[in-house]
Amino acid sequence: MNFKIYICPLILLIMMLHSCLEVPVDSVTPANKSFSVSGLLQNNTTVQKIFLYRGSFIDSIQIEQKLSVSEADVTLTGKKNSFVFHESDSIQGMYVLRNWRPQGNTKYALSIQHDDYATVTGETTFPDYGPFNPSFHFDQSGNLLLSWDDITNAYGYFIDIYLWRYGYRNGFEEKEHYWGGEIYKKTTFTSIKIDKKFLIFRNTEVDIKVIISAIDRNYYAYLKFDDAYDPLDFHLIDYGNFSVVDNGLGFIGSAYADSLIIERD
Amino acid sequence: MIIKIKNEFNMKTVKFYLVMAIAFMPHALKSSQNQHYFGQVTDSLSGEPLIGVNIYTENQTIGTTSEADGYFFLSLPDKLSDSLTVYFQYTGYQTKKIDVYATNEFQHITLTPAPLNMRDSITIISERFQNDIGLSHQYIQPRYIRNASALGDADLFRYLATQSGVSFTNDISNKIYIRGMRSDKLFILFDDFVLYNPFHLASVTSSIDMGAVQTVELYKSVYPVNETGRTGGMLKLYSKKGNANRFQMNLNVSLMSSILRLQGPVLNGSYFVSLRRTYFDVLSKLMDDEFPYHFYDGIFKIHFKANDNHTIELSGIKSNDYLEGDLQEDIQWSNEAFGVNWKHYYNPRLYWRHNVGYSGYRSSFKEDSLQTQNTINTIFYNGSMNYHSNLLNAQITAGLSVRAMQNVFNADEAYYLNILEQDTKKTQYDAFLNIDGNMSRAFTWQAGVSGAYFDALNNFEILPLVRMQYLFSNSFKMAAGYAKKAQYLITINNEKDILPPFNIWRSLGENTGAEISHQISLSAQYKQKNFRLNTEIYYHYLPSVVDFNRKYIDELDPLLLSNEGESYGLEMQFRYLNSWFDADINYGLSRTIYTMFDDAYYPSFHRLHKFDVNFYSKTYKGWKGALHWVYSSGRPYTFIEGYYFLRHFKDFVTPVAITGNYYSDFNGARYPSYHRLDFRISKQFTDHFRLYVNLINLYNQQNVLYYEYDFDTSTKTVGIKKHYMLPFLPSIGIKYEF
Repeated sequence: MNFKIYICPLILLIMMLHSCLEVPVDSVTPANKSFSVSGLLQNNTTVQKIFLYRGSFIDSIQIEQKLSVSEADVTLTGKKNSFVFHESDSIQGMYVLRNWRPQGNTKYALSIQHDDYATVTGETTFPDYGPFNPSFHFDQSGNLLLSWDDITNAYGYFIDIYLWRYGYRNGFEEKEHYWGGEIYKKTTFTSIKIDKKFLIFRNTEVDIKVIISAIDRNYYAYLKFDDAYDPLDFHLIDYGNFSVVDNGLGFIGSAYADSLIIERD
Repeated sequence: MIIKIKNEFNMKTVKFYLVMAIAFMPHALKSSQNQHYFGQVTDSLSGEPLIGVNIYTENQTIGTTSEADGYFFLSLPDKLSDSLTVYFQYTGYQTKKIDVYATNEFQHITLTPAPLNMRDSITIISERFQNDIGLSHQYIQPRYIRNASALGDADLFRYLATQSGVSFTNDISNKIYIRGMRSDKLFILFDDFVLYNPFHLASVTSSIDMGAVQTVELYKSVYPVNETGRTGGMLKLYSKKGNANRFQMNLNVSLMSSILRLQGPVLNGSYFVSLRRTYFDVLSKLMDDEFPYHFYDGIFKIHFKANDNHTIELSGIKSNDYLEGDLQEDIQWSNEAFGVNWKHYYNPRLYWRHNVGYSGYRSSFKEDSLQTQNTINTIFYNGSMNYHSNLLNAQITAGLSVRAMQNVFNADEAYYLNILEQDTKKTQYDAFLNIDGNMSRAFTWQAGVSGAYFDALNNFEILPLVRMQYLFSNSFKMAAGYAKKAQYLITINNEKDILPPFNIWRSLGENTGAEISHQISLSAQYKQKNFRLNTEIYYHYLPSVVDFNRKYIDELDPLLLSNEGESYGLEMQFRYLNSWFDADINYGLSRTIYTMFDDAYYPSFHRLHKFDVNFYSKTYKGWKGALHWVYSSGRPYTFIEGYYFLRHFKDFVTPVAITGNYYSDFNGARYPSYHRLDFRISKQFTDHFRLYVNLINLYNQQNVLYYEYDFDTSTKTVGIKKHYMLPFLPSIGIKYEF
């Protein structure tokens, strides 16, 4: 029997079967080499915070402190001025910039350097410190209709609503108050409707404290990522890894906030 | 007012008829002067018309293929001084040879089934290539499907998944993916009625009884212009017309279901009825393990032949699934399609075909906290005129169709699915013209165009098609083709789901526009008497493929996104036939890339390589066997590689740490390669009784279905738990026939 004529088809067959084993090359950085940033510039505090962590493989669960990243150089630059964040003594992986508030209508660039990672960079534009001029009314059903002025350089708005059992009275904040509940909403519009059912505590209409924050595109994207929700595991929603920075995961964002008290007697 | 509209319609119709009549008049007049040979091919035992019979003259210069009702038409040379020998060749039947003299009378041709015993039943490759252009197109004999190993009853889609260029996701879902196109891109027609979800619950099994199907026609791409509405291929099923000579009953009993088939003569025609019911519910009760699920399905056809010029067919398919009772969930799922097909021959060269029908699909899911209802209803009309022109040496088909569709999906808010709610009524209008021509014996061509208008998009698409074929010799031919296709309905369905619970059909809107594909295909066929080698390469460019927005969060986000994609590959089929067995060896290499958010990814059904071997033995002393082995690349999935921390600033005071999964690239990993061996053996004990055994996954290969990440709180480690597909599964059944 002449076996030579079978050699070529056989080699071809083996090559074809072997090719079935092809595994695609995953282009993402290995999990233990990933580097995450969480930073939000805020006007209502003089201590700005940025948190740095490295990632971990799935089979080696670590608590957050063990994954915090130390000895990084964290610099924020805006309008030709640079500000250096210092590593916190109390919380690992936290870098702080004290006695500083961001300026309105200003673009800031973040740069994070560390010997073990590529330089992570990101940008955020802090919204204008314009007045919100909020107004509100309740419709006939008891829903709250809240509106405010558009803020320059705000991509969206984050509305944080607290229910107060009793609290602000006659313009003074009483020490005792009840955190009856809290709801978050985000929108890209300058008005929002809050359903009545969220404004009642134990069948009683209570006072409401509203914090309106004008936020930049980065933080709005993060809030959306945080809201990604697939309760029945349909896999319709699949955000993947979240990043609005270069060479890393996470975000650097801006939030300009103001608050409003709505008393309901 | 109504009368006025009606008059306008009539005037338009009259104008259309006039234009068509004027166009065809010279040829119609000429036709009477030319010789032609026409009639119908039927099974000699059952009287059932045979579809796709290869009909050709001795010198192979003239040829055709019988149509769905067995009708054929051959234009003979003008000066036929002597007789001409015509061959009728059909797989599974004895080839018939007839000497033809000048005649213009209707011919009744009967073919006799080949004997079942081995060595007498050599299935030969047709001596002449099929007259139609053999590009991405194949007729599949249901007997191969019925004899193939299967879990339970013979399954059309499981069988198709053994062909090159046809992919699948897992052993559980029955959905198929042809040439890189999602399952909803395949136009599935049952007797010209569209089927939306021809599967039972969760797509586990087909709702089509293969014992009720006469022929399966598959276009992997570049399908004809007379159907419009899918960007992939077309699967056409022709149901059995029934035995026109005598009553027949067939009972098939297996561990999971029973099928009763009845057929016989009625009036001047025949009927066929098939009914199937599963009894999981009854069996599980007996085993004290209540699983109150069952389904039934049925197919019927009444074929009425008033005379040689008129045939009327009434046919339909219906299936229902129920999961109810003590379980918390209450699920119903049903498919149906009914209609009438009337074919009227004005003369041997010219016929008109009218098709009116209804197709629908419904599913509902009721649980304490989640309720959904999903419906699609379609009423349609399709009319076409077919003319054999001597002048052009071509077959001309022109027609129009209207499809009125209603899509409804309701869901409560609790589980987010309410974002998919819809209640729409849309209409699709199509007009088409197709010419199949022969420039010479060697060169065959087809040119067609359809115009499609979908009112929801206010969009008109011109969809051209060109195909051509050249015969280099009686053994070798090449073909090439191009077509543009459009699609206006898609399913919301994530291919990653293990068992997609809903197939939600949704009409596309102006934010995405229509889905579009450009299909190019090039094929070569080489054949000898007992083997055939088909090779085909294809390229699909998808300028618009619509997907659910994976980053949809709220109403500010678009629900659907129009993205780009492409798919290309190579397919090879080697078919070898001898007196002991028929063998198919199929290989498919395909690369399918879709995009979303400017990132390219492999869809989850994508298998780079797929290798299938099918053997079908001939009958020997009543014994018959079939074997299928498949080896393919594992399908892609997104791997959770690790995790990372972020700080959450929501309350702006004390940011808390949260963890996020760290994923690989989207579908950037692959499961291990898939392989499985199935075997079926059957024994005919008497003329009426057959016993069969199916052995699925004979060597118990553990093919991975999916990975589950299991967090152990005590050790604080994550284990990867593997879920496998079907283990070794034997089953047994009997068939009784009289």
